[in-house]
Amino acid sequence: MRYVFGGHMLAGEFRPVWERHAGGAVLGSFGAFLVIEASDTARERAARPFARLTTVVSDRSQRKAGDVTAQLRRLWDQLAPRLDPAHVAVISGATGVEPATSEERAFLADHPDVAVRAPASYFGLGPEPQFLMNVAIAALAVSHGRLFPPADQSGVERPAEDAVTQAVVTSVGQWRGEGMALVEAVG
Amino acid sequence: MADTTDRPIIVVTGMGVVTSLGAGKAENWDKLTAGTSGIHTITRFAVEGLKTRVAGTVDFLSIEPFCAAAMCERLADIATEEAIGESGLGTSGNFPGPLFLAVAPIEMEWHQRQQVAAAAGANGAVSYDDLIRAGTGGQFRSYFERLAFGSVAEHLAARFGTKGSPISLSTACASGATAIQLGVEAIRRGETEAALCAATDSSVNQESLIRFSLLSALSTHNDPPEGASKPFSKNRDGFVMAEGAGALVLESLDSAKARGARILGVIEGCGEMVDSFHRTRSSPDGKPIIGSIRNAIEDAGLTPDDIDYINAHGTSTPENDKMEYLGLSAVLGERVKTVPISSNKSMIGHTISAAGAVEAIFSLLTLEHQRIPPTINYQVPDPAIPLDVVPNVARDARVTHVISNSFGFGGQNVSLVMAREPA
Repeated sequence: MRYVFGGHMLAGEFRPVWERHAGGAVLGSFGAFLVIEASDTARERAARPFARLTTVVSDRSQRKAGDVTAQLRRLWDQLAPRLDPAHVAVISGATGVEPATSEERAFLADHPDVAVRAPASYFGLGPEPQFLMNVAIAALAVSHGRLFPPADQSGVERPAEDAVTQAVVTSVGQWRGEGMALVEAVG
Repeated sequence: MADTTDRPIIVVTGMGVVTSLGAGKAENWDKLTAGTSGIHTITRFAVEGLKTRVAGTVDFLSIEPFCAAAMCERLADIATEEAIGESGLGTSGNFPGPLFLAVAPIEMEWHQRQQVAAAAGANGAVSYDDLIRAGTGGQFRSYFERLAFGSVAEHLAARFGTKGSPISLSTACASGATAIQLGVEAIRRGETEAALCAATDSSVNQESLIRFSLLSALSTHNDPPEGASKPFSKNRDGFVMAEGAGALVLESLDSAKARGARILGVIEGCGEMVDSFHRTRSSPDGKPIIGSIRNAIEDAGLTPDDIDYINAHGTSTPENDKMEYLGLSAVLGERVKTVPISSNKSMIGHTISAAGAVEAIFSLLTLEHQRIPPTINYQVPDPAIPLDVVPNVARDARVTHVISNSFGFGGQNVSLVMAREPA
């Protein structure tokens, strides 16, 4: 009901998040649990790491028009020195809620060569676990060294054959809050 | 300025508090040390037929129609304004650090549900489809924001200009202490020189009261209301729900000294331990409570012998007070009988999500004034809990290191150790 009150639910037929012209999310039920461990202790007990969680950054913009795009650019700039443009992918937290999704799309347009996937097209919006779930998916992607197939005809997501060693996870709240994480293959 | 393990020393440079006793540190401290109770008969809603009809509601503020989330925000606003004002840190609307807010879970109020149901204009019983139809179109858009768990923190971040994405948290009755712990840890990690740690709760509505009542957690001592909360007494029969907020400006000692700020106290150590024994009961061996207390003392670089006052969780439930005694006696040994301990909840009730912060502030005031607020309503000592509860009357005492306990349902336990002066 809360999302209905906010005008944030998808009306009509299901479509992938980037193809929802009027915007709106589809709720999903899921949970995500990550075990995060210092690399030393993982090594000592001979555990196999999926990935390295290098950085998490976040901030709160005022949400005036263009704020989310500008904020994502600022967060990206904090990660940029570490990024390898040929092998980085974006696991987007976009859920179809507007204007957040359009503003994120504008940010992604800055990086036309970076492959993008928005897992919410597959499993919907789960407000609490969304970011953790996407970090988990990013960790799996870099541990396999490749992405899963795109779920989008709009051009934001496209097939990606290149090896993926880094994934930037984005997170834009329906109402407030923006964040990003960098997940890297353990080399 | 570093502590014994080379971490920054964390000091408090501003505090603000609201409870049923009043708004502001001065009024609360005067009443607390006079042994005044803020517990009264509930007038906010009809209590006919309810087993529990008393609470520590904040009745000198009103929100019509009542909305717990809006009241939480109001209480937090007042406490934060006092805390930031006292600290003199930053400029108006520009606080140079993050916000950690303990906030009660937010639920839709009955009047809001009734409004949506009325707007649905259903022929008969209101169905889910009717509610969706009424909710579509933006008529109730404000409820989307008001009912978001993060809405109170968002408001505070916007008003006071805290930095970054504000953290809203809930660890049940330990929430307020958790907010302080997160602030301490952020400064120790070197991410910031200052943090705003606040906690607010305004849960006294019909549903919350009945829910706690169904858990048999609440006192049913309705007459006189001020006698309902009687921590550590043999005739204690449950806690009393209450409202309030507390806010603290934490700062590294270096930062506070550099700007010549008045130092109100030191957060020396934070300890926590979680137990998964039961939804509401604590593990019968007391292990998590003992661990929480020990961890806090150890984090402070002290030994149990250094603690000379205990600001109790002391809820007045048969279970908590017994377990708190058990935990303290395991850590303090024979000293448990002589170290003064008192429960602010005997006067203000249990401010739930806010309790950890509100009681940390009262602990710091105890250090500042070298005066221990009493445990009131202590008429029938419990021979199974032989403690010096500072019965009924405040006491002047030399207090150097205080431990304040917060033990939450769901096995979430946090203890804080505080001192007047940096070591």
